[in-house]
Amino acid sequence: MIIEHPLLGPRDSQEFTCLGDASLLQRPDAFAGDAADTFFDYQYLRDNPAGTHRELWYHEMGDRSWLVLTRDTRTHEILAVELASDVVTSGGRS
Amino acid sequence: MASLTAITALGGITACDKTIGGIRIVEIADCCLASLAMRRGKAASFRKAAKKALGTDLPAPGQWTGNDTHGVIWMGPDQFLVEAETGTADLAGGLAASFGGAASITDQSDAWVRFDITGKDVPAMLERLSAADTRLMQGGAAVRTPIHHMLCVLVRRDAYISFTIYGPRASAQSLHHALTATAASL
Amino acid sequence: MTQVNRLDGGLIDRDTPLDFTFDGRRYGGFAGDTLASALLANGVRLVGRSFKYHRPRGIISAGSEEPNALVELREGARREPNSRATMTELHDGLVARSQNRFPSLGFDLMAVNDRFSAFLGAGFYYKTFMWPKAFWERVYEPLIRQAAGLGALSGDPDPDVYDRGFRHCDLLVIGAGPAGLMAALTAGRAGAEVILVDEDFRAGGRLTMERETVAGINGADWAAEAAAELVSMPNVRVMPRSTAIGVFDHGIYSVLERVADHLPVPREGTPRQILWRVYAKRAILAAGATERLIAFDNNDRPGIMQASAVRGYVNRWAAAPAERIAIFTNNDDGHRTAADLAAAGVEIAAIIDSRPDAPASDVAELFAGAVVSNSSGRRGVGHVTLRLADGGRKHVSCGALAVSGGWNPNVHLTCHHRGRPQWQENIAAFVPGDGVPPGLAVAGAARGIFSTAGALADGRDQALAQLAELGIKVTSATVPEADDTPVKITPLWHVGGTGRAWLDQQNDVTVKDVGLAHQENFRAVEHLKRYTTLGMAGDQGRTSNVLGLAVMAELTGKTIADTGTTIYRPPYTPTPIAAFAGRSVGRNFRPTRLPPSHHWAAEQGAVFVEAGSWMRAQWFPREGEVHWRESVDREVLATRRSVGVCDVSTLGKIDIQGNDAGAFLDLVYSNRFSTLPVGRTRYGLMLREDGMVMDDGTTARLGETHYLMTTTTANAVGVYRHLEFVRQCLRPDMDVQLISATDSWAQFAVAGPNARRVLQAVVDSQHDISNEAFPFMACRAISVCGGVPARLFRISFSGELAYEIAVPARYGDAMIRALMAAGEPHDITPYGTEALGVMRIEKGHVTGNELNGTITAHNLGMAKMVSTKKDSIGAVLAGREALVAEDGLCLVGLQAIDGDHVTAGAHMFAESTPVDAAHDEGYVTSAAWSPHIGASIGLGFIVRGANRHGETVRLMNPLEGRSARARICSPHFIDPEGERLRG
Repeated sequence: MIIEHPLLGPRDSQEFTCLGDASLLQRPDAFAGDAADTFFDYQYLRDNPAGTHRELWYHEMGDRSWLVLTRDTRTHEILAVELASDVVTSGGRS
Repeated sequence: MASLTAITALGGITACDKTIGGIRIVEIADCCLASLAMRRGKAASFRKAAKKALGTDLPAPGQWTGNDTHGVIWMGPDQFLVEAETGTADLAGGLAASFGGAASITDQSDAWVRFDITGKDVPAMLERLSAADTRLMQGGAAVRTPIHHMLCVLVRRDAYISFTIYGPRASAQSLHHALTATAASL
Repeated sequence: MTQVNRLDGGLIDRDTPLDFTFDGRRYGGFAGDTLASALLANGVRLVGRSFKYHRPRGIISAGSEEPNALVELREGARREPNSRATMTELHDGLVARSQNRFPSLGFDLMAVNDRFSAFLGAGFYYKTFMWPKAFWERVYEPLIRQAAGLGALSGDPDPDVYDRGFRHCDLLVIGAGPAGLMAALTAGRAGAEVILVDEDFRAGGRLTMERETVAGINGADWAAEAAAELVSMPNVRVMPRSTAIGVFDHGIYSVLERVADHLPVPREGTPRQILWRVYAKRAILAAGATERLIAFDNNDRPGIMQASAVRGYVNRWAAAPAERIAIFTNNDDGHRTAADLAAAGVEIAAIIDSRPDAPASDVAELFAGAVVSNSSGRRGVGHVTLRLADGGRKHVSCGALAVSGGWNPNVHLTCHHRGRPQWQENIAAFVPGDGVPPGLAVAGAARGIFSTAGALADGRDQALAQLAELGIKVTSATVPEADDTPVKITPLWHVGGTGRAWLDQQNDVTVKDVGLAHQENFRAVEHLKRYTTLGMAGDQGRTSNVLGLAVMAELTGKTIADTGTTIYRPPYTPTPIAAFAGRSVGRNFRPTRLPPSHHWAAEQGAVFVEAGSWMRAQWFPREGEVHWRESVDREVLATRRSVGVCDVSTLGKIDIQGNDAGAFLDLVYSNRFSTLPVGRTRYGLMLREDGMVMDDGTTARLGETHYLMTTTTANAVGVYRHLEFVRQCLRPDMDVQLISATDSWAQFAVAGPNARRVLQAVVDSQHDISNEAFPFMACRAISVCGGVPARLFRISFSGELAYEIAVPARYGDAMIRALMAAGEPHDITPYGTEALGVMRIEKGHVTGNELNGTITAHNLGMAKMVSTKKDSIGAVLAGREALVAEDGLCLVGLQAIDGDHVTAGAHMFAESTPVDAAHDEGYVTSAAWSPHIGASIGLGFIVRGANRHGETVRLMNPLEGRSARARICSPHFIDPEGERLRG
C-alpha cells in the first residue's frame, strides 16, 4: 500500500508499523469509579470491521510520526491520513 | 594518563574512501551533529533562535537547508538534525546556550555513520537500495527511509549527483557493505 | 552437426553460431535462438516426461506459458530445474538436461505409471493412501515424493547474487507487443516518465513471430524501430527480460528482471536477477494472448503444438518443428499458419478445420468439418487420425500437428485484486471483467482485441486515457497502418473419444478427470481446480484452464459464462525464492550491529553471539580452556573476587527532555520519576496497558528537564515505539522530546570489589567518585583520560560494587583498552554475556526470560512499585483480581539438589503429585551453573512461591525427557542485603 503521509507525501506502507483500531487514542480516566471496566473495554474490545476503519500506523522507518488512517479494510482504499497528535489535540479522539 | 584515540564508525583510524566503478563512497568521520527539538509552545522563539544560531531558515518536511557553517535536516515534526563543520567544539552545548528553554538539544555526533557518495552511477545505485524516488530528489531534499532495514537519512544538498547517507553508527559495516556491494553490481 | 529443420531467414544471427548440449549430446544453434527453437531446429521433439504418468512430452509453445518443455539447466551449484526451454536464451556452452526420467528420456521406467493410469486419476491420493494410518509418513509420503515431482535442486548454495530495487514512473507498460509499444510511444513522446517491461529479450511480441506489415515495413522491423526510439528517450526506461509478476495495492508492481539468465555466469559481482518494486501512478497491461489447444485422444504427443508457436518457430527462429506438418483449427488463425508454412517451404500434410464452412485453402488439402480424433507414434507424433465430416476416418502422416483452438487474453494481472474475468462470446474467451486493480488499464489482445491494427490503436487510446488522468497533455498521436483481420471462430473444446485427452499437460489432467470431478460433484470451478489440480501447476493453467472449464460446462449443461473461471494470484510466472530474498542471505540476512568494543573483543579471541541484531561477546576463552563453562566460571569468579568489565552499549538508551519529562516518565513507568533528584538513577518498571511487564531498566536524571532511560537490549525498539505512542497519541499536550542515544555512547560495566580503584585510574582527578561523593545509584557527567567527556552511573546488574561508564562511541575502542590497562594491577577480566547472565541470576535480577509478556509486577514481588497514587500505564488492569490473587505465580530461586541440573523451560511439580497439566505449579525461566554457589541454580515462577522457600520440587522437562529435583529459595543467591553494591 501507499500511505499519503500528511507531511511527507506518498510513502510505502513497508515503512510503517500498524497498531490497529484508533480507539486506543481514547484512554480512559484511571481515577474514575468505573476505571476497571473502562480500561478493560479500552484494552480488549477493539473493532476490526470489514469496511471503513480508523487505524493507528507508526512511521517507524521514517519520521516516527504516529498517523491515523481511515481505510477500507476490504479494498485497502485509504480515505484520510492525519497526524495522531493533531487528531488528539483537536479533540477528535474518536 | 593516556588520552583516548577516536576511531571511525567503520573502525579505522582514518576514514574509509573507496571508488568502485563510477561511484566514490567516502566515510565522513568526526561528524559534528546535534538533534534539535522544539519545546512545546515555543515555536516563535525556536524559529528566531534557529535563524540566529544557524544562519538559516529551518527546513520544511523532507528538506535540508544549509550554509557554509551549518546544515539542518528535517527529521520529524518539530525535530531537526543540525550538522556543523568538522571540529566544531561542543555543538550541542553551543546550541543549548543559543536556544535556552526553546529547544531540547542532544549531541548526535556519535549516533550516525555518514557516507558521501558521488559519481554518475549514483542514481542507478540508489534505486537498488532505497524506495525513495531519488532520481527526482532535487537539491535540498532530505528523506528518512530504510536501506536494507536500516533507518537512514538521504540528503541531496545541491544539483550535483552526490548524496549524503546517514545510517545508524553501530550498523556502519552493514551499511557500508550494502553500498559497496551495490556499487560493484551495477 | 546439422540443424536438420533449420530454414532460411528468421531473426537469428547466423554469424554467431553457438554450441550446446542436451542430455549429453552436442547440438548447434545461433544467437537469438531459445533452447526450444534450437532443439526444434535440430530435430529434437522429445524433451521431457510428464509429471504423473511419465508420458513422453515435447515443446508446445514459444513463450512463458510452456507447460511441458521443462528442463534442467547448467551444472554444479548453478543447476536449475524446471526451466522453460521456451524462455531460455541459448548461450554458448549451455548444458541442458531432460528431467523426471530414469534411466533415460527415451526409456523411462516410471512410464509404467501410464499403464496404471486407471488407478491414478484425479483424487487418487485421497482415495488410495488412506490406511493404514501408520503408513502416511513412513511409506506413502516417501514413495510419492520419489515418484512425483520434476527436476531436482543441486543441494548446493546458489553462488549467484540476487538483488532488489525500486523504480518510479508515471506509466508502467506491461508487454512490448503492438499495443504495449504503441502505448509506450504515445506516453513517451508526451514526456511522461514511462517504464516498459517485456518478458522477451526482443521487443515486438507477436510481431516478431508473424509475417505482417506495420507502417509499410515488416512488423518485427517496425517493433525494433519503436523500441530503439523508446530507448533513446531519457524519460523512458525499456526493460527487456522483465516480467511483471504481481500487482499490489495503490500502483505497486513486482517486476522480475532476468539480468544474467542469458549468460553462462553473471558478470562478476552483478546480480543474476533483480526483483523490482515499481511504483506506477498508472499502468497499462498489454500482455497479449495465449493460444489454446483442442483436446483429443493422445493429444500430448511430442510434436503437437500451438499453431501460433509453430508459426513463431518458422518465422522468427527459422526452425521447422517437423518436415511435414498438419494443422488442426477451429478458427481462421489456422489458415494463417498454413500460409506461413507454405511461404517458408514447409510441407503441409493437411488442414483439418472443424468448421463445416471453413474457408478454402490454396496451400494445402483442407478437411472442412473434420476433427483430429487421435494421434500415434513412438516418442513423437507420426500419424494423426481424422474423423471426417461424413463420419469416415482417415490417417494423415505428419511430424507435427499445429493446433489452433482460439486465443485466451492474458488477463492474469487483472485478477490480482480478485478481479473476475468475464466471458466474451464472439471471441469465445474470457476478457478482463470487474475488479481490475485501480489505475491499471488493459490494452490490445489482453482484452480481446486481436488484430494488429486494433491492438496498435487500443494501445494509443489506453495511453491517452491514462495520460489524461495524469494531467499530461498530448498534441497528436497517430497509429501506423497494419493488418486488421477480424476473428472468426466456432468454439471446439474437445473431440470425444475413448482414450485420454489432455487438458493440463503439466499436471497430467485429462478430460476424463474433469468427468470424474463432475461425477463426484466437484463441479464448482474452484472445486474442479482443487480436485483435479487443473491449472495448479507452475504455468497456472495458461494453456488448459479454459478448456477444463468448457468441458465442465458441457457436463453440467451450463454456459461457460455461467460456469465462470478461477482467478489468478501472483506470481504470473514462476519466480525463484532467491529473487525474493535478494541480498538478504547468509550473513547479510539482516544488518548487524557492532558494539564499540567489537574490534578489541575480536582481537581477544572472543566468542560472539547474536543478540537481536547485535554481535555480542559471549565469553573470552583463554588458552587451555576447552569447555565454554571453564571460561564463564572464571569470568564470574574473577569479577566477584576483584573486577570485571563488560560492554553494555547494546542496552537501549533514550534521551528524554522537556518541561513535562518527569510527568511523562510517571505515566510510562509504574513507579515515580518526577521526584528523582538530579544526579540520581532509579530502577523503573514499565507495564503494558494490560498490566503485564513490558520492560525494565534504570533511568537517570541528568538535569531538571533531562532524563536518560535505559531499556533492555531486546526491547529497545519496542519501548521507543511505545514512548512515541504515549507522547503523540495519548499526551501530545505534554512538553516532551525523545531521541535514541543507543548508538551514541559506548558503555562499559565495571564490576567487582576493585571497580572503583580501576575507575579512579581513568576518571579525571577533579571528579570525586568516592563512596561518599558518588554513592550507589548516583550519576554524573564527568571526563576521563584527560578531558574526554563521559557519563558515570553507579548501577549494578551483577550485584557487586559496580559502575557503568559511558563515553562517545568513537572513544569506545580506546576506553576498553584504557580500562584494561588501568585494571591490570587488579587482574581485570573482560566478561561476556554468559557471565553477565550467570551473575544476574545469582543476584536475582530479571530479564527477558522472566519478562515474557505474561508476568506482572505482582508475580515479580514488585507489586509495591506500581503506584496507585498516580496514573500510570497498566496500573488499572494490573489490579485485576486474578492478577493479584494470593495463589498466583511468584518469582523464586531454585537450587538443584543431588547434583541435578536446573533447566530453563522445565515445569515444576510438588513432590508427590501426578505429572500432568492439572498439577503444574509453575516453570523455570532461567538456569545457570553458579560457580559461587557451586551448584546449578535458576529462577522461575511457582504458585505461592514467596511462602515456599525451602520446599523441594520436581523440575519436569518432558520435551527433553529430563527431570530433576530442586530446592526453592530466595531469588537473591548473592548478597541479599545489597551490601556489596553500596560498599
